[in-house]
Amino acid sequence: MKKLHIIILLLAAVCVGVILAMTGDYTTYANFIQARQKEGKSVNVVGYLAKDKQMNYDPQKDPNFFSFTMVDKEGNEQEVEYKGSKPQDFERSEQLVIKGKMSGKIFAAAEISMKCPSKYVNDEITLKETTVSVKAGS
Amino acid sequence: MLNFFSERFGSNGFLNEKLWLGHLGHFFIAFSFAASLLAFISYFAAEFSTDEGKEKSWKKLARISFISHGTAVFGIFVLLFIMILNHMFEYHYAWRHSSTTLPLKYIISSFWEGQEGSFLLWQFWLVVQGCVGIMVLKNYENRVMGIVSLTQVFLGSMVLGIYIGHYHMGSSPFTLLRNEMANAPIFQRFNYLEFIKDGNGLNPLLQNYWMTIHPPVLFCGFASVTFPFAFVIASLLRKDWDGWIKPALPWTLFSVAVLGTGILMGGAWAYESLSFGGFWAWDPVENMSFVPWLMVVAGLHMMLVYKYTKQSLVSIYVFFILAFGLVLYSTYLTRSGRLGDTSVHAFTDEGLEPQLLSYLLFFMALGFILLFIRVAQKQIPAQQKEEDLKSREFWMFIGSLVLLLSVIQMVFTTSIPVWNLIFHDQFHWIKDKIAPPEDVVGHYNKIQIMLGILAGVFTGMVQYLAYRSGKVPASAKWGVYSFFISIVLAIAIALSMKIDFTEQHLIDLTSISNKLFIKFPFISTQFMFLVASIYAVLGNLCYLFFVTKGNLKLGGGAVSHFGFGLFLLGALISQGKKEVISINRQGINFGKEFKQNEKLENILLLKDSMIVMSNYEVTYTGTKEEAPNHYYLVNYLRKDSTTGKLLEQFTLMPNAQLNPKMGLLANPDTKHYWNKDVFTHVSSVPDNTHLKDTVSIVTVSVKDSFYTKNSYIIVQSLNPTPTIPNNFDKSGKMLVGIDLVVKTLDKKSYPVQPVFVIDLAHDNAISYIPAEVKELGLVINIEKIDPQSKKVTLSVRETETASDFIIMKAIVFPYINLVWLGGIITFLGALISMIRRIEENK
Repeated sequence: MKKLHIIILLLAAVCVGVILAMTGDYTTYANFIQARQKEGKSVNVVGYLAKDKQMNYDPQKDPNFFSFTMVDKEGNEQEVEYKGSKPQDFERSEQLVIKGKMSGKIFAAAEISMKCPSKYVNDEITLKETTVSVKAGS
Repeated sequence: MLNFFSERFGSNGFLNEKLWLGHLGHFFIAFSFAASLLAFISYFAAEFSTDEGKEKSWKKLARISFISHGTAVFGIFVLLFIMILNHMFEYHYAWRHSSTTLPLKYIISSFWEGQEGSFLLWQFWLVVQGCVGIMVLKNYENRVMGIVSLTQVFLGSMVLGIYIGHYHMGSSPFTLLRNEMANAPIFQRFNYLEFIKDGNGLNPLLQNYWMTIHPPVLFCGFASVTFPFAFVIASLLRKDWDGWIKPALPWTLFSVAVLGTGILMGGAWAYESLSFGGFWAWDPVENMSFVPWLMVVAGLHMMLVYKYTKQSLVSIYVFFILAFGLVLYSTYLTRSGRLGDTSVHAFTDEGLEPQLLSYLLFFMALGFILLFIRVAQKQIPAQQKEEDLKSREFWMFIGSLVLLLSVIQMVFTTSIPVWNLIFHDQFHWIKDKIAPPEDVVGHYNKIQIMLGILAGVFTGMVQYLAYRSGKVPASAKWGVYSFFISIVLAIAIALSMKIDFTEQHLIDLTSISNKLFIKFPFISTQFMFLVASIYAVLGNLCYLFFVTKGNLKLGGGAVSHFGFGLFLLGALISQGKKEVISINRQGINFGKEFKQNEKLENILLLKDSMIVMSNYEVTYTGTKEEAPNHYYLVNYLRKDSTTGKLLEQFTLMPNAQLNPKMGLLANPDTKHYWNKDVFTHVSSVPDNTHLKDTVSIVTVSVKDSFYTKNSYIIVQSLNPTPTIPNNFDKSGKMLVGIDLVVKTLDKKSYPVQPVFVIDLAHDNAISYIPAEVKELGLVINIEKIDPQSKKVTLSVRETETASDFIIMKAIVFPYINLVWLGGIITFLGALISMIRRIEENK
C-alpha cells in the first residue's frame, strides 16, 4: 500500500471523528415543555413575545438585566431572563428565537435573535395607501 | 392628441410611467441570454470541428456572440443604474432597494442589494474576464470560453423572469411595481405614481462604504473561480493532461488574490459596522465565501506540485471542481432563504431555489462524472513512484488536505439547515430539528485552530524542502533555526502579553492543576498557534533573505506565506486578547450559573457623569443631530496615573440611525491606533417618546406640604395681590394667588404662584393662571378654594422627565492591523506570482 492510501484512510478517519465530535456541540430546537424536561441543556426556542405581560428593563439600575415573557409556538408561556441590554425595538418583534437553557423556573437566554416586521422583506404599501386616502379626501 | 395621451399615459393608461426602459431592459436580458447560448454552442462547435476553416468561422461567430452578450449585459447595467438614479419607482427594483434621500454611494450599493443586481454583477465580471480570456487564451480559448459561456447561460437565466407553465424562471430587475403587487388598490388609479413619493430605501445595515466596494470585489472573485474550473473541465473533456497547467496558473493566482481581497473586505465591514465583536464571526455567509477560496488555494498548490513533479493531477481536478461547486452551493444557501434563521445577512427567498439547486447539481455532476470516467478508464497519467517523506510535494499535498479538512468542517456545520431539510423534513430520520451550537465561535475555533497550527507550520517549513530529489537542501537549516527562534519569541510574546494558556488546551488538565499550564504551555493549542503563526512569518522572512536573496519576483509564494503568517498572528492576538473595557461592576448578581465578567459588557453612562474604563475616563457629553443620523458624543480622556497630566483626549461618535422602518440602528465608532483599536458601540438609548403625565389632586391648607414624584412642595401663604402677567386685564376680577415653594431632592427650590381668578363682572366665572416649573415638568393649578375652611384644592400635573443616558459597550482590539496588513501582503504575493507566471508563459 502506498503512503498516499494510508494518508487518505487516516484523513477519512479523522474526518469521521471530527464530524462526530462536532455533532455533540449541536443543539436542538425545542418548545418550553421540552426545554423544562431537559433542564440545564442548551436549546433553541422559537416563539413570540407575550406583549400583554410585563417586560423588565431598568438600565439605570442594571443595564445588563432584561426579562420578559415568551410564548412558544405551541402556546406555552415562559419567563425569560437575558443578561444584556434590551434589544432595540424588542416590542415590535414579530418572532423570537432564543438560545439558552432552563435554570430553575427561569429560562436563561444566552442569545436572542428577533425578526422584526420586515418591511425590507415583505413589500408593504399600506403606508402609502393612507397618504392616498388623505389626499383623495382633500 | 393621440400622441399626447400615449406619451403621458403609456399604453396601459397609467400616468408618467416610463415603460421604454423596461421594454429595452427585457430585450437586453433576452438578447444577452440568447447570445451567451450561441457563444457556448459555437465555441464548442469550434473546439470539436476537425476542419480548420470551419473552426475559424465558428470561433468568429462565438467571439461575436460573446461580445454581443457582453454589450447586452453592459446595457442592462446602464439601464438599471438609470432606473435607480432617476428614482423610477414604477419599477419594483428601484422602489424596493432605493429611495430619493440616499446619497450617491449608497444608490450604487442599492444596485446589488437585490438578488437580480448581484447576479448581473457576477455576469458583468465574467464578461470582463472573458474579454481578457479572448485576448490571451490562444489555443485554450475555445474550450475555456465555451465553459465560461455556459456559466453565463445559467447566470443569465437567473434574471430572465419568464414563466414556463407555472414555474417562473429567474427574476427580472425590470418588473413593474404594479405587476409585483397587483392586488394593492393603489394601482387602480391611473395616476398612482403621483402617490408613490419615495422608495423603500436601502437596508440601513448596508449603508456603509464597505457595502459600496465589498460586493463588486467579492463577485469579481466568485467570477474568477470559473476559470480554473473551466480549464479543469476542458482538460478532462479533451484528455489534455499537461498543457493546461501553465496557462491556468495566472488565472488561479488572480482568483486567490481577488476572492481573498473580497472576503477580507467583508471582514472589514463586519468589524466596522455589524458589531459582531470582531472581523470574523463564523457566520454562515462568511464561511461560505471563505471555503471556495481555500479550495482554490489547495488547487493552486497541487498545480505547482504537478508542474514540477507530474504528480497529484487528480487532486487538482477535485479541488477546482469543489471550489466552483462551493461557489454555487454558497449561492444556493444564501439565496434560497434557507439560512434565514442562522445568518444575519442572507438574501430573502425569491422562489429561485429549484433553479439554484439544479445548477449546483448540474455542474457538480458534470465535473465529477467526467472525472470518474477518466479515472475509471485509467486515462489520467499517474506516477508510480513512492512519495518521499522528505520531498516538498508530499508536504504540500498534506497541507492541501488540511485545507480540505477545514472546508469539510465549515461546510458541515454551516449546512445545518440543509441537514434539517433532508433528515427532518423529508425523511423524518431525526426527531428534533438540530440547531447551531450554543457557542458558535468556540465550536469553529476549537477545530480550526488545530488546522491553523498545521497550516502555519507547513507554510513556514515546506518551501525549504526540494521537489522530487528526496535530498534536503543545505539552506533548510534556516528553516530549522527560524523554528527554534519562533518558539523563543512565542514564549516572550506570551509572557509580555499575559496570554492565558489555560483557556484552550488539548487535554483537560485544569481539573488537576492550573499551574501545570503555566509550566507546560506547550499543550495549549493557543500557544501552538502562536508558535505556528510566528514561524510562518519568520520562516518565510528567512527564505526571502537567504534562499531567494531578496529577489521578490521569485519569492511571490514566500511573500504570500509571510502575509498569511501575519494574518494568523493578528487574528490570534486581536481576538484572543480582545478586551471589553466597559465591564459593568454594579448590577445584580446573577448567581453562579454565569461567569463573572462574561456577559456584563454593557455599561450605563448618564449624561456628563464620568466612568473609568481601563485607563480612560469616559464621559457621555451629548448628542449631535445630522438627519437621519443621531450621534452620541463619547469623550475619552487618558491621564498619567501618577501626575494626573492629560495625555490624550478624543471624542468618539457612535451613531444611531432613527429609521422609521427598522427603529434604532446603531453604528459603532472606532479610535484607531497603530497597535490597537478602541471600539465604541451604543447598545441602547432611553425611549423618550412615550413620556407619561401623572396628575394628582391634593387638598391642602396654608403651611401644609406634600410630595410629588420628584419634588416636595410647601404651601406658604394665600396672596390676595398676586403678580400676574402684564397683559392680563384684571378689571372687575378678584384674584387669589398661592405662594408655593417647590423643592427638589438635589436641594434646588423654585418659588411659584398659581392664581385663581373670579370674574365678578361676568357671573363669577372662574378661570386659572397655572404655575409651571419647566425644569421639573411640573404644572400646578388651583382647582378650588373653599372660603370657609381656607382649604385649597390643587391639581399637580407632572411630566416624566426625559432621561438622558446611553448604554454602551467599549472593546479594545489589540494588533488588529496585523490582520489587514497580513491579508493585503498575502494577496500582493499572489499578484507577484501571477506576474511571474504570465511572463513565463510568454
